[in-house]
Amino acid sequence: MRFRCVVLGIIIFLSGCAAQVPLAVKAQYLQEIKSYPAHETLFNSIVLKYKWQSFTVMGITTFDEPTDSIDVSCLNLAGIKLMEFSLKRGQFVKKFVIPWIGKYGGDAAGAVRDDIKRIYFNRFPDKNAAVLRMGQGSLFVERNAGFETRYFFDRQGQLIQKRHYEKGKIIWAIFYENYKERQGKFYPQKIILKNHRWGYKLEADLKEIRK
Amino acid sequence: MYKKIIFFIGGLFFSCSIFAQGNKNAVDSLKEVEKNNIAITTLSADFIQTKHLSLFQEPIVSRGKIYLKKPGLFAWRSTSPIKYNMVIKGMAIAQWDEDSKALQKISLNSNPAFSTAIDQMKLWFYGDYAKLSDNYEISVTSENPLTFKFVPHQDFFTAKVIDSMSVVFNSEKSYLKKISIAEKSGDTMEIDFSAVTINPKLGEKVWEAASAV
Repeated sequence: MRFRCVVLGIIIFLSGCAAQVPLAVKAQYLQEIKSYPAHETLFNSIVLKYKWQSFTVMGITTFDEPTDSIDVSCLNLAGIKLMEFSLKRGQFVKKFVIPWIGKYGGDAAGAVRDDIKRIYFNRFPDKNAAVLRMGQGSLFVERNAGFETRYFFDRQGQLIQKRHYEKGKIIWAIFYENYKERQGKFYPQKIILKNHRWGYKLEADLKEIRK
Repeated sequence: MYKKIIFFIGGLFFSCSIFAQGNKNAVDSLKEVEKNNIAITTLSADFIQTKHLSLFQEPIVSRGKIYLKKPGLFAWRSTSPIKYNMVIKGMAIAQWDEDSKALQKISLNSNPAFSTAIDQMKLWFYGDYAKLSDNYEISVTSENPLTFKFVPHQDFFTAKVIDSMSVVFNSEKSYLKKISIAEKSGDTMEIDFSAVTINPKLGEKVWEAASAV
């Protein structure tokens, strides 16, 4: 999947990245790409990799994009809760972070919230996004005041990558891999987030889709 | 982090102590269990760990096996939902999981808090109940099966996160059958033990975290 992204990226680069398509074609592209559930409860195993160290946790996440709400519990593999929060309409209404994480300072729950939003929110490009090129798939680009988010879709219309840039520098990238259909919906079985700014990587394996 | 793992182990694996001044009947019953436990040198058992989180309706259910060998070996091997092995060997802890495929080793010498929790864990798994101190109010809630309830004293650090623990012993009153922990947060955790084998012959690979058994 990532190889296809790379190939798509190379094609786009070689083609000059300027081949914007007519509006009618763009509308067709928008129709072809998949949209994803705005509300789900997912159980993942998550491997955090940072500076040659890795740490695996279990995470249950309920998200509701329209209301900007997220519930998260994160446990180590022996069952101890490391972090838990509840976000309602963008505000924390409950937040727990085990002290050994908290002692490192920073807003750990806020960082997790941001990564969850990057992964599960905004998986469909804005209607004003530019369509630069279609090859085996499509690429949509949203630009806004020095920020740029690129959405890569494969030929089936599945989102396979999101990349976010600030002032031309990549900040994070998310790879959605190995889509499988469950209960009429498509779910990536593996999601990889690379945070280039802070140098860490998350690998989430989907274990269960919950009600 | 490992202090917290320890804390977890301490809580999960029964880092509770008998309130020595409390229910005399309970203390006597625990001594009886301790006496019955002496003949156990090795043990293996299946476990089902069920964690109910207050934020979610469905629990997280983990399954696997535990192994112990007196005086200093303990292994926790989850098979689902994620393969995860934790082996305690003397003053060292090793962890491995299938997703990271990384083997992590921790020395208890440099983690005194972890060491304390492991000591508590050993008390429970090895049946050395006479060492239990007086940090909990203890009572017998059932004679058959023999069931104890532990409520941490308010000045004990465990009281900050745990409301109470319930420990059920098997019909022979020799080993743990079930642990239930009620947390202040509203979460609960239960661990059921089954297929308990007393004094089995355990291979060396059981004590290697990165090895399959």
